[in-house]
Amino acid sequence: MPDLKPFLVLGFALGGVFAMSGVGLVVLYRATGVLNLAYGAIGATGALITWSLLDAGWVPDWVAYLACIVFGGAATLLYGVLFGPPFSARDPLVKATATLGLLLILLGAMQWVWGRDPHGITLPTSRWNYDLFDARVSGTQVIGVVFAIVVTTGTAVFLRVTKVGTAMRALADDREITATLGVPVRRVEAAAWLGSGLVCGGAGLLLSNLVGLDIVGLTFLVIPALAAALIGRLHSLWVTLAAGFLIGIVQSSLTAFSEVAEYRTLTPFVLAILALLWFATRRRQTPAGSSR
Amino acid sequence: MKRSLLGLIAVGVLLLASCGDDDDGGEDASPDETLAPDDTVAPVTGSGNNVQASGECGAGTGEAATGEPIKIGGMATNIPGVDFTWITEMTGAYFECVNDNGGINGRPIEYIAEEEQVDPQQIASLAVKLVEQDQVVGIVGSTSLIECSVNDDYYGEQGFHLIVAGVAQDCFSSPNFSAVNMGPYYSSLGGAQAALRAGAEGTIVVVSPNQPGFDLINSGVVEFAEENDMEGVSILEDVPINDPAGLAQRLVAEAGDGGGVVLDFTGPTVLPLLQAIEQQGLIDSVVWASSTPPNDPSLAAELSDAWNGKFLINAEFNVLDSGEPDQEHMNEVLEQYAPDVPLSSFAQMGYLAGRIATDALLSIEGDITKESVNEAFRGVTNFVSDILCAPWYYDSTTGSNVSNNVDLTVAPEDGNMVQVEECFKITDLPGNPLDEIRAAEEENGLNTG
Repeated sequence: MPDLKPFLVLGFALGGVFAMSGVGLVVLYRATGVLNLAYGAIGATGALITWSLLDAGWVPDWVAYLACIVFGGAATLLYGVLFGPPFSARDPLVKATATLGLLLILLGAMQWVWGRDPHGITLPTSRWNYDLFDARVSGTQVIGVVFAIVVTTGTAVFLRVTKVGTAMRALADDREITATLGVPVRRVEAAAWLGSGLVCGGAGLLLSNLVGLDIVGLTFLVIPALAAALIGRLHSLWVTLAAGFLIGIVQSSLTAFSEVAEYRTLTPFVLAILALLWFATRRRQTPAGSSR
Repeated sequence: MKRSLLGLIAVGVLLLASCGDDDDGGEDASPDETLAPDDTVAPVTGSGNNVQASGECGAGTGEAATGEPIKIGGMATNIPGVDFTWITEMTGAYFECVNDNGGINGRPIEYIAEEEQVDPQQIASLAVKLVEQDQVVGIVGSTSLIECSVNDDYYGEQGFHLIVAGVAQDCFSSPNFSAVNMGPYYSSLGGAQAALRAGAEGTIVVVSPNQPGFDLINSGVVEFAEENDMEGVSILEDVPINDPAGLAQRLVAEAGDGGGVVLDFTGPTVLPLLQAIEQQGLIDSVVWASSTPPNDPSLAAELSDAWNGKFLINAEFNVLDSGEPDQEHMNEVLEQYAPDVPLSSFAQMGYLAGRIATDALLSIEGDITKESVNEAFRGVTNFVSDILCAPWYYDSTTGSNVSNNVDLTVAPEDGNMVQVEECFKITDLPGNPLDEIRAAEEENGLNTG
């Protein structure tokens, strides 16, 4: 039996960022009905902008880091403002597919502007290291975990106690009725796009340190986040948070077992499929009329 | 209901995304013998007819070629984590330079470079397109994960002899291909030799992309380890690597303290792994080595000083800032004709393929036809360049072509790649044909300056 402790530690850190990204996806979906598949691409683009600013040395480092988060918010908000209203009445599947277009545009743009040379960002927090269970934990990894919990808690509180949050929850239930009640739907949706984008930018910055600044790799890291969001049924922030951690921990732990390590990247798919099957089974077992 | 449907669609997207991403006859390679002076080879220097003046390529007339184009084809893999199009782009850049310098006796080269995505059907179709639709007379610079395996028979039937940059082992075991490089099998082996010389003991781990054929590529390092009374471990890893810290931990655990690890990834893929190794404090746990692709100054620039001299990269070609004439010429061509291609070993492969093909085309007396071009390619012997450790030739006469079988080791040092070992012979093993090839080289006067 291999020593799992370092893999559990690393998986917890990785899962934190999956969880944070998943929560960002769920918040946006609940408020706008859009499953943003371009989430990873937006974060990757922001991280590459940060890399360019650091490389050029035009601005202080902290401004370059902030640029990633700002880009995430701005790009997501811009997409939401431009394309949200025209797609608002369409099926969620159409809305999700539209974000694939954004993903492809950003992917192409990144490969055109930055695609050939290796790139890397090292946050100052990545140099704050301490040893835990034979794994070296960096400050960035700790931030990833803490940030995920803070974002989830903050979002849950925001949705519960603020006017905008209440409006977002109402939108999630029924957009048309909410609009007739006088809720400024577009402004509320814009807030959701902005908030989700800011989280996306933050996740991109952290992932560029934890996973590496690889254009394709970061772009498709939306997949574990998407799996976490699916396990949370695109509704529950806390289940999404837990699922993100679970995916990270399981995937990392499988690394330690030579026999199955090759297949560990299937972890998000397997867990998401198992969760969907379980939901489907449970729905069949629930007597008609007993659901709320 | 909509949410359930969306969930199922999303799972479908996830699954689709997942698809996108795979004794005797030789000397005993004991550590002592690997270090033996006999294995060290004096590098050739750029001199004689093969060295070209600044701004000149091919015939070097300085006048643009205007005649009927000579069609040359090429094909390169381009998938997430594996992009070989730098090589065909650099070959194309050299041909552009040739066209600006009189072309091939006044005729420009029209280079048709295709991209493929590791789909055998697509790769077979592209070969047919190049040969039968485009009617290319030769194929140069092709670099693919599987093309040599897929199209070997077809090219044989069509009478093509390709000058390629080889990846799959079939590129080195067929008379229809001759590669300017030695490919990941031999380059990883060179990395393992360097690791052993640097003191690796116990176990040598080799890790490659989880793509078709890479288990065979890893087998050389495994066999080399076993020949040296060590354990050899082969790992295939999905690329891009999405948990580099975990993989770093696994590699060190598999190699054990003081063991060796040979990485076989491209620069953009290996950088996050190297950064994770450093972050995890594992640089000094094992000896880290690599096949050629990370021999890239832009990668060295991204690594911290902690890696100085501690990442032994088997370089199939000279360092890029050697200052030698051929290398300087390549750097000029790249800057002028392909500024988007990184200065890298891939660029060296593309440049050499273009240079060798151009020299062969210029040597043809009479009509330029498919037959004459491929005969000229096949007849190349003793092509000298300071980018190579030893002269290059096409045909070993053994049925297996590994013309580039001597190279060197570089390592990052203060943001640059520097040479840390002299040119040395890649070790022959029972599982590879180097022993037979070197005997043929000696008998036929190949690989000599």
